[in-house]
Amino acid sequence: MKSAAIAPGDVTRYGLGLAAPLALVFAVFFIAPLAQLFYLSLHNDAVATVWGLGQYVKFLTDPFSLSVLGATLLLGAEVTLLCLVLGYPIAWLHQRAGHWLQTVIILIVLLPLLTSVVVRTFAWIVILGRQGIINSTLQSLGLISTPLRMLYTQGGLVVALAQVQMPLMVLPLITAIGRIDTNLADASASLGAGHWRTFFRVILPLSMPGIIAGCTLTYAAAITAFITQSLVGGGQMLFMPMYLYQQASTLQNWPFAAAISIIFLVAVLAIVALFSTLGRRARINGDAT
Amino acid sequence: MAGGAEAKSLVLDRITHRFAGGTLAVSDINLDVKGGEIIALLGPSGCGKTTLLRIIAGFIGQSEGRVIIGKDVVDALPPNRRAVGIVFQNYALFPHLTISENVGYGLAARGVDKATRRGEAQRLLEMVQLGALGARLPRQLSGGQQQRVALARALAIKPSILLLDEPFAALDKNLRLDMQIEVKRLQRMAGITTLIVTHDQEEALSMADRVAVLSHGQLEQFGTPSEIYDNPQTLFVNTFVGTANRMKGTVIAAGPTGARVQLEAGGEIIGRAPKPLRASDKVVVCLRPEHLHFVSDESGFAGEIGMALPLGATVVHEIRMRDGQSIKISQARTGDTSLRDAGATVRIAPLGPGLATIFPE
Amino acid sequence: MMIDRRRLLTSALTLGAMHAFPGLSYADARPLVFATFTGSWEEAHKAVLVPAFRKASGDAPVVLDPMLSVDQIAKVNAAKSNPPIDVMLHDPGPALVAIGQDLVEPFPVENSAYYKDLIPEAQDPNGPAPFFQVVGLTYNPDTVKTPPTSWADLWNPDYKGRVGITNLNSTLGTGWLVEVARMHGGSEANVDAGFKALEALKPNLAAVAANPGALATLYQQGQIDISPGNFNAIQILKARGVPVEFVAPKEGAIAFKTTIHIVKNSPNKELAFKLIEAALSPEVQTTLTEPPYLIVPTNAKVAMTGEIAKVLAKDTDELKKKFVFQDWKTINQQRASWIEKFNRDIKI
Repeated sequence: MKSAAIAPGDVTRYGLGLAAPLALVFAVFFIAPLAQLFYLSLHNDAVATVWGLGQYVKFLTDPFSLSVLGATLLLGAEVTLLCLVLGYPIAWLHQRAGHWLQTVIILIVLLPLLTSVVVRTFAWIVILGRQGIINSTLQSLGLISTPLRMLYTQGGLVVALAQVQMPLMVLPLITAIGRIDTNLADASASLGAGHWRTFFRVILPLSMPGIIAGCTLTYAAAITAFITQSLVGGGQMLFMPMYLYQQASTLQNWPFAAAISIIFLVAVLAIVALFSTLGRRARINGDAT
Repeated sequence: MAGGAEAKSLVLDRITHRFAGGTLAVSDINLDVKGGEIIALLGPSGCGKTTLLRIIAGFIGQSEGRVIIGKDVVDALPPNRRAVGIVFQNYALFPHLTISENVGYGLAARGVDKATRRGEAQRLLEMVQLGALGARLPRQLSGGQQQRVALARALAIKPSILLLDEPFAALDKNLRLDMQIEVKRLQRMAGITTLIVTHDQEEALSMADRVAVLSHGQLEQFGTPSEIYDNPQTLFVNTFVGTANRMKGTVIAAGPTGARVQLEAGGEIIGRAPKPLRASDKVVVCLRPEHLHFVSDESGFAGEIGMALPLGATVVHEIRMRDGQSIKISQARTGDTSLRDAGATVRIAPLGPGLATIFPE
Repeated sequence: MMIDRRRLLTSALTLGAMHAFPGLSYADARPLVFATFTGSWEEAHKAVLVPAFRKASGDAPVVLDPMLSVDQIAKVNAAKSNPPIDVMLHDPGPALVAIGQDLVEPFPVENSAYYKDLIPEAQDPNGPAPFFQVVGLTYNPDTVKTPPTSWADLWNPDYKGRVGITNLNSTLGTGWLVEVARMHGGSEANVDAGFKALEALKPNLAAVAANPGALATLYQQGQIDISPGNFNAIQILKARGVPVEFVAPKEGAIAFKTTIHIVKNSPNKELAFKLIEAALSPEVQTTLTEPPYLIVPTNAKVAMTGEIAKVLAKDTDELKKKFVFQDWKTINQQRASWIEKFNRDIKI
């Protein structure tokens, strides 16, 4: 009787039933708060009694707010680029390495994920500080006389964020590069292409899915990394997460904070959409010209 | 390309290669390929034929020995400067490029301008009868079509040597024969020295001017298909190429090129001996099934029919010998060929005295 | 099994009773919830305040639920009629927000035994201040050989690239800016002079911390040598062996009231009052002036000894003289625009 109850036609319904708890969790803990956030952002006053688009107008007409958004998106771009430039060779090496070395690389890449972001960030404070590893090394080598200022600078922040988010870049890249048929590189070489041509015409276009996935993850993680941004970047560099926190926590201006969140969310979605469009185009028009 | 530069020769001079772990991949291989020849490297998987191909292409630097193309020792040249065209077993077409771009890829690498490249790609695609498919992507083509593209792509760079790595393995049997004919036609047209790596003896024998049989990294024999088939120099060649019945025996008397052997299954046999033998040596006698026939007198050796297999143009009988070995005998099917019943006692004998080949055990 | 059933029965009866008599107090339903701050505050309250409260209330159940001021306000706001917190603890800025949003029950001053003993600055009918937080100059004695004496020392060219400050997200950062403005003729209502002075401080600035806690890290890493700092935070850092010292500048150390409030509609008002009474009592405050807490008392009857006496003040009179109190009502009105200006202008 029991087996008869699950007729072949029920398979789909059964599958949806299994997905329902997750969908419910998603609806309750993501969609609903997001809707509430949006609702909140549509109020002109701090205690959310007057309806209006004032918060959006305020943000979008304020050059300073726009500059914070711009600086945040730029920070994400810098971190993503650095992660890509540093992460790609690691992924490439992983693909070419022997089994033993592959394990080591994966371990090194995954290790940061096993420590908390706070710990990794504090490690960077120790590295970049005035008496940190870099400065003391440079000083003992006699290369500099006064310590360089690296902590609380954009450069220091970009490097720290890049390291913290590196696994998000390298893991998709390893997957994508690993899927590329090794014969293709040989074929390219046999047809007369040097290493660079092979790389730019064959390997790079074919690793595009990994690059897009890696960039999207790294970008999203870098621009929302509140802890690292505030600990390594300091209080004078203002990015969207801190701006948002300031408005909500210190100033209790929840509608404006909500509007900032919504604008941030839209901007990030736009960037992610841009990434995938570019990537798809690169894949389709991979002309070897 | 037809009537282009004179086809280059290829010489492998004492090539030895050890893998990182010290395993010997190929050992002391000498091959002398004349310009324009088709050579098959034939052997079971793991025999070193693919390693040899990768050494010629420059993907692997051999441990010892030299590769000479034409008059040049190419050992110091990277793959992209050897002008060796390769068709990979899985074709290795660039999945993100169109067919036309794939074919034009090598020309682009040589700095040929776009218009010329397009024209040349089109010409080559027409040559392989795919002129209308230039704008497609590889995944939109069938296996046979992909192979033609791979061939056109390799030929586009006007290579001095063309290497084909198991080129027909992925094709079904009917298409395989068509493609074999096609490749041979194109090779003749282009006059390019060609090496085909294969484990398929029929392919090797039908396509190649000469066949190099490899086993365990050693070159067993290098000769024309007829030499390989009719005059195998080693037991491995005799059993790997074509079918051979193996019978154990002991040498009764040995001459410089032949011997008389007492078979364990009873009876005596005279055969050729590629390597010198002495009396009382333990040997293996190889006899091809088509070199045996049924006899009604007391010559040859006795056995009992195990099974009869009518295989279209031939009929094969399996005979159980007195010592338990079984032997196959194959006859051309003529009007009066009849299948014999299992269990019937028969006598079989070689068709002639020189057809058996004797190898030391 | 029996116990479970009995418990179940009790709960059911309680629930039933509460439904039958909606006016009935929830006091029996849950213990007193006190939202203190995290870290050393929680430890001090757990060790000193809670035992004193238990004694005074006949072992009434109490729970500490440490969280930021902003979270306290958000939680109470979310359930105004049945708040999950009974007693809130606030810095001056958030305290005014909580009062402004009508989340605070007036403190029954007339019932209090200790309210009248508080120094006037600590008396507030919306919630008295059981403790002060004190902001003064902090420096690394290994690198700063002459102890600073004035806020103006931060502008000393000798400290080029060695000064740390915090942004205005914190009470510390905002209060300090107001004080700098006052030095230059400004006030709580007008901090333009303070911003001008900040502009002049830029060459000396090594770091603008995102929060006061980050200053501790910056000292540990040698990133800064001198900064405004919280007296209690520095004591903790010092106890850990970091070379830091605290001095009250001659202009006066900035004192913030940390106020304690009964939450509006609290079901545990009686107990909440008792907890606050305990916090105001000289016994508790005296214990808290001792190491390792070193919390500055507000009850005038509490004698000041040890490090507090040495660095800050010996008694209430001296405290009044040496401490500067600020008008946070005025500050809060413009804080948003100051933060905006700080965001824009202070880039190093």
